[in-house]
Amino acid sequence: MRINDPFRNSKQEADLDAEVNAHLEHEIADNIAKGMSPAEARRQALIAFGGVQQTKESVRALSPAAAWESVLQDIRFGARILLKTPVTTVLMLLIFALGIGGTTALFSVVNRVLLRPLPFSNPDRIVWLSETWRGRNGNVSVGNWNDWRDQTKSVSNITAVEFPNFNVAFGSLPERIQGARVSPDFFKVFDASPIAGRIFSPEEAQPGRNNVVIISDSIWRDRFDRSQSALGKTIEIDRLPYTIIGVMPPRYDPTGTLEQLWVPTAFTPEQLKEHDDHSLYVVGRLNPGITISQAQSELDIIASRLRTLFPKEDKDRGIHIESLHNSLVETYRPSLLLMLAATFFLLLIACANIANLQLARSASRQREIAMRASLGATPLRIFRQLLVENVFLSVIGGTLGIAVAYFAAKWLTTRMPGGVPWIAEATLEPSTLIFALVVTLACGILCGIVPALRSRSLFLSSAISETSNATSGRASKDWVRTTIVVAQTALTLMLLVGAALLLKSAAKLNHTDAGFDGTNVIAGRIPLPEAEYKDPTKIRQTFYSILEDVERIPGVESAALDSRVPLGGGHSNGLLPEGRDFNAPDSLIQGRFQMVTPEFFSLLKIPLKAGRLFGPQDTPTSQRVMIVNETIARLAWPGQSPIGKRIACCERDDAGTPVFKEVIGVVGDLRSEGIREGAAPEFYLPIEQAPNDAWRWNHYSLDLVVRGTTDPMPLANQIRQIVASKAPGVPFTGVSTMAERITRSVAQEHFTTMLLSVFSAIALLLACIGIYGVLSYTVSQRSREIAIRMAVGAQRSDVLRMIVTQGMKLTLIGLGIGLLGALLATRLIASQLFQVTPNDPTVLTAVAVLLAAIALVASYLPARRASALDPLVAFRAE
Amino acid sequence: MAESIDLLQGTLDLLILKILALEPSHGWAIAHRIQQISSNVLQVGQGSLYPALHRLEKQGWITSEWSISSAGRRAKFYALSKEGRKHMDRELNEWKRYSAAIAAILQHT
Repeated sequence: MRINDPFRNSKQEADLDAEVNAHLEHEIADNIAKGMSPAEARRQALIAFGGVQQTKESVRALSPAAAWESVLQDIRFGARILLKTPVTTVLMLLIFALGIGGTTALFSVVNRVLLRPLPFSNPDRIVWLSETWRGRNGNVSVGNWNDWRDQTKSVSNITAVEFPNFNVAFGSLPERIQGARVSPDFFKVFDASPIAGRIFSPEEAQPGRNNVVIISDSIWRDRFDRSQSALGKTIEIDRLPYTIIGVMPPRYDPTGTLEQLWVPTAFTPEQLKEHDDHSLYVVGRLNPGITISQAQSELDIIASRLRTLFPKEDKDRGIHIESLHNSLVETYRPSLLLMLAATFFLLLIACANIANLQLARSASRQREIAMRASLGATPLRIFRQLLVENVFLSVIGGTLGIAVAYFAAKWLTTRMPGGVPWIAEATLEPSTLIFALVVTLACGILCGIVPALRSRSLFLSSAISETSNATSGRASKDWVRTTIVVAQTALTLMLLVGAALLLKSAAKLNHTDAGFDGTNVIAGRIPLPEAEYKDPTKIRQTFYSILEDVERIPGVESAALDSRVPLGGGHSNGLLPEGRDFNAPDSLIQGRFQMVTPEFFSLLKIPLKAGRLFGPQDTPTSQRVMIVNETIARLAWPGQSPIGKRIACCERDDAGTPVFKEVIGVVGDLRSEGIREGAAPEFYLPIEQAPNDAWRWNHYSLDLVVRGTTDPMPLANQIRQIVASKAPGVPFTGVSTMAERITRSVAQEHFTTMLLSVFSAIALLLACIGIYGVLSYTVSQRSREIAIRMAVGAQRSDVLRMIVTQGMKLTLIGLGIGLLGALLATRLIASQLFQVTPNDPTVLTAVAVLLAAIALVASYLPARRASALDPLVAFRAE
Repeated sequence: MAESIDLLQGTLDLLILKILALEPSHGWAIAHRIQQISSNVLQVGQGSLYPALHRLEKQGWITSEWSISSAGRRAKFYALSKEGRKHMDRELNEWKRYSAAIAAILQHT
């Protein structure tokens, strides 16, 4: 077993050979002088010298290059061993590649979205400010923003931001583009400079001078071929001309909103005093040396000052400050971390499997290892050999894993729903590769350490003399493999429980009634440009004429208008039931605002619970009326009929007193904010009686809802033509079926569930292989014992029972530990569950039974092989 | 022949240095001499002798060169360096103090 080693220094080697030979010759000469025959003299000399190779090996180990050389030797030797069993090796590489690849891919997403700081200077200084109102964070009124800006000393560049969709016409056809309306300081907050042109000057935040626009690099590239002549050109935004003054760098997306152009906000002096219209996002930069909590204290003082100055508008309103990054990714953190944790579980299970495969292999290598030991390999050397072998394997697996990660990350970033910010930028970058490297080495060591440790015990038990352990009943000694299988079963159970809980949640989500019937219903938005539609009558007439024509399209069963369809976003208003004191705490009910045409309810089949729906009698001049959902009815008038009750909201009369509306009907609750969210307070006004401000709240836009006799999606183009004919340049956008909206509202949950289910299916498979592997190994090791048992009268059924019992014992221990672990671990995913408790007994039982059943099959196969053993053949094999 | 005893860890180095202090010598001769002087009580295994020689050489306490032995054969001769002599003196002192202390205790009791 001489190992050729081209790396060894041949001069040193020759020198060592010569020295050892010189020694032997002296000894031989000495022996001859003592009277021995030459042959005997030589023999005695060799005996006296002891292990020639061992001595050389010890001397070699002193040379500085020796350590490195021997690692290379280990690798080469390891590679040869691995090539001897190609099937197992390929299997292990595959497990490694998938495990490491999957983990790395998810890490790249988590890294980009959650861990990496925003790509600006001092990103931790960028803060998001919001108004708080009774425990909720919300948007900021123009007046408050203006006062904060004037008064705070801890935050600078306090910037107002809105994210409207614009109708933009570069040429003739208008397009719907995500934009942002920002105060000039916006770019200072994010410390960004344009790649062409300039940013806004402070003067451009004044009404009348704000018709300038900064475009994104992608617009510049797609529309203007990156030509400098784009600067100074005019584009039409919401039917008004804007001059291009600057271009931002590629991928400039400071808030993860994907906006493509920026225009300055220009508030009139009257608007700057308005404290009651909460619509702005506010960002800023913490001043040097100020902490978030110091800033919070200062803002608390400002908030209390504003509450005194504006007792009505700023009643109960505070200010909340937090790091922008935190606020942007908060929603996505639990599900992303859950997915990452799941991949780690899977990786652990995979490692356990590889360790098991390696153990089986090292068992069959006992003789080889013993041989190496007797030829001069130290225990440390053999320990290292086995470790290096596994790390080598994991490094190849990890390299393949990086390829897997590349594609998996691509798949994840395109498929993961829910608009996770910056997810598209999750790629394999240096930090991801370092992560992959660390995981790879950790896996290699983890998988290698167990067989390597086992090898040390070989020195104690002098395996070379142990020609057979057939009668010794090794199974009991095999605690390492047993432990691994138990651990693997436990981990698998935990993963399965997690997946099953999510699956049950998903099923519940799917069967949850949204409160409306969305079959054959589509909805899309019609945004009228403010510039041409300031007059409410004109707005109404335009929408009505569109509605009339759409109703006449063949295949349209009915059509309606709604300010924001359910699951389409929207805003809420405070409602004050008559008789309640405006200033008393909790007197206001915050309800989701919708203004609709009368057909809306019948179109979506929203049940009327009491009273009547809107009708032609509800005109701009008649009594103001309102329909509320059951939740509002319950909150406002518990135990009473709400019909005929009066409630104030949304507008004040000329004297400044709130306008009361009469409740004429109660309709069923909807899950308008998301299927998960449950029913929220919600109220409806007739569009005929729309409060004047409501048009501005809704950006002069309404959703058009259409029910077809069949799927009305093919009618969308016809509707587009009608919209364009009634309101030139206005698109019909964001068209989707109501079913799609429902799906989209739970897409994130379903995605996580799907991923976790796939992971646990793989884990289940791996655990099966693990149990099967251990039992097969036991059967092969115990074949002689089994043969003896059968020879002395054991029945095949006894043998079968014996092996299956052994397998099930392991499984049951694993299940027990796994159940305990699951009870602890599933609490962490409680927030991800919907109408399912983390320790749902049916889920726990079902999963345990499933795993036990599969383990039974995995035990039965080797057991049947054992019971089919022919005693004679088994004896002869020894 | 009296039963041989294994060398205490670390004493082999000292013995080698001491032997080489008399005259440069090669591996077989060193082993042979240790055995002779100790009246066959101390046996030096080659498995520890050669690694020890190479280690001492690496530390600079002995030097080596190929030469012809008294038996007329080529052999690698080791010689004590200046550094090695200083090191040997230090070690010898240590050893004397150590063995004196042990002897004192053994006699006393």
